Amino acid sequence: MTFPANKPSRGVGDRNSIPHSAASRAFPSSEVAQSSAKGTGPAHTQGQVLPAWSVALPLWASDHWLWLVPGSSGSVRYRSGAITKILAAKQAPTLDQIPSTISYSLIVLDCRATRKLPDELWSRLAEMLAPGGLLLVCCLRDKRLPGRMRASTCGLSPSTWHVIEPGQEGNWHLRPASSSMRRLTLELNPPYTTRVWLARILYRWLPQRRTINCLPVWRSRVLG
Amino acid sequence: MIALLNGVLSGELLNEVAGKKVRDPLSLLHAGGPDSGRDRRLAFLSEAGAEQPFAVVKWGRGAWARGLVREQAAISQVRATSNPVLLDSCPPSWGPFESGPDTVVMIQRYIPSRSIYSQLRGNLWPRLLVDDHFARVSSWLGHFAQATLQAHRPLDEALIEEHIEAPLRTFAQLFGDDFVPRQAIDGITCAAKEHLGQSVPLIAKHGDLWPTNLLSPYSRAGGLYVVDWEHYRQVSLGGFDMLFFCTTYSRDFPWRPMGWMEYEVALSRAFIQRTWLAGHVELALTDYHAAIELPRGLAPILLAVLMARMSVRHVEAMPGRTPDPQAYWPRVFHAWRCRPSNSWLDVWAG
Repeated sequence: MTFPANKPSRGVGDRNSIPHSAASRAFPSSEVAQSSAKGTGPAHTQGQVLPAWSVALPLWASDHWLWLVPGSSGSVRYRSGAITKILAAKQAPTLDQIPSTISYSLIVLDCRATRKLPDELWSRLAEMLAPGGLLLVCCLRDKRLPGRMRASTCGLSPSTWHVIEPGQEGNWHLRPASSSMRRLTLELNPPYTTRVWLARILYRWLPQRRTINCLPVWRSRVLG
Repeated sequence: MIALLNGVLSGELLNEVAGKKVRDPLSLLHAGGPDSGRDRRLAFLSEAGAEQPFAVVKWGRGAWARGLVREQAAISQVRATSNPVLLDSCPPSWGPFESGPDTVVMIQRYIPSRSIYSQLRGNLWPRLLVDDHFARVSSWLGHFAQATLQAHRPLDEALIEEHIEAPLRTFAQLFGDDFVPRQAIDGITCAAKEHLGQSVPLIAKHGDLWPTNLLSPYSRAGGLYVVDWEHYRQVSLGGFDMLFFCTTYSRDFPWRPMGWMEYEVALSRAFIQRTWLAGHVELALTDYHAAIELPRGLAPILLAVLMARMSVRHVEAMPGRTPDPQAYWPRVFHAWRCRPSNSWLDVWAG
């Protein structure tokens, strides 16, 4: 909230676009193959290798985070990182085969392309999370999912549904999917232009195509 | 506890921040962009299903971490004053907590409020808000000056050197003699020396009093919350905060519907032409100068120094950033230096 060097620019619209296949964009196959061959590989910056909307997620708050993209064949592409450092992408035949020598304080499960998530997934992810860790499940909105997680009795505590939505000038927001939090988010990011203002009025009633549903899930009790 | 941020946000701490027992699980509100500073972030925490957050978490690394340390120290100082208006305007804050190498976290109680900037930019008739904004800010600055007044002392060479000449020289070194000619510095310094011997106040300075950092509470008609204290200074020549507010208010005001005005035009409408906004600025400056007993004649000088200081701050805040004469503060410095001699502020200053 400090003073910007300049006023916000007058450009409108988000520069980044969300591809239909998040997996292919987040982890281009050539990059996966190259990284797998080289092992750990060099660190990357967020804008280069993760989807544009990843800026809405608090990766900076995690000293060990993991980004998972399950494929249709059961394989999983994954990328790990520390705060804002991002390591090269890898691929594992199954989730169980991802090396888990450390526990992660944040795991992002980008399964928007996956229709049905197996219930056994949750216990495995709970094992990979540090106590008090956060799992962000980015998927199609399923009202029954929080209940299924609680029923799996693996110590996961789902919050309410959130949304990741585009803001102005390439910004993305993560917020609870409620009208009061929408209002707060808009107040924190007042419109730079009339066009943005009109678009906001429009999207109040129409679904925003690029909005991503996200369910934050905490491991075990968060608060003492 | 939360594993994020190296576990510094314990359940006990969150309960204390919220002022009640917090129910888990938590929800998050966070924004980021391609241009977001990689070294500073902000997130809001709420209980799942709650209507509003209960805490604001600030994270900083490197220079921003040191800024958070300064901010927490400043908030502690301000909250230690006995002035109830200041105490009420400064949200309780906890920290700084180390969350890793050269990274720091602080957490503040969320106060339901909306920034003056947001009100201006989100309103179809922003002009209707101006009277209320200036009244709140003037009242708050009056209390702030009263509570932090160190002394009144005669303006002397040492004060001019420290608060006027040195910042201008640094500005000239950074931006070059072509942009800040020697005679410009000499002119401002000479104008300041005309006030030698006059009594001036030494008070604390918030240092970043622009509309985004001023929050208007939802719950009451009056009052103001002031955030982002990282540029606080305990002792400064009085007058800078009010000029800072007036300058940035004019810049951020949507002069066109949801649009932006050229920097020089916005500056002119605040300090040069006699516009409706200039009327508000004049009233605020008249009351403020009288309240803190600051000679009016110093206002045009301090305005130039403010612009020079801010130009320098923006270069120094980001390692590797090069001076850009087209950025806001250098441009308005240039516009102010080249103003017509009959600007209303000069006439007002006598």
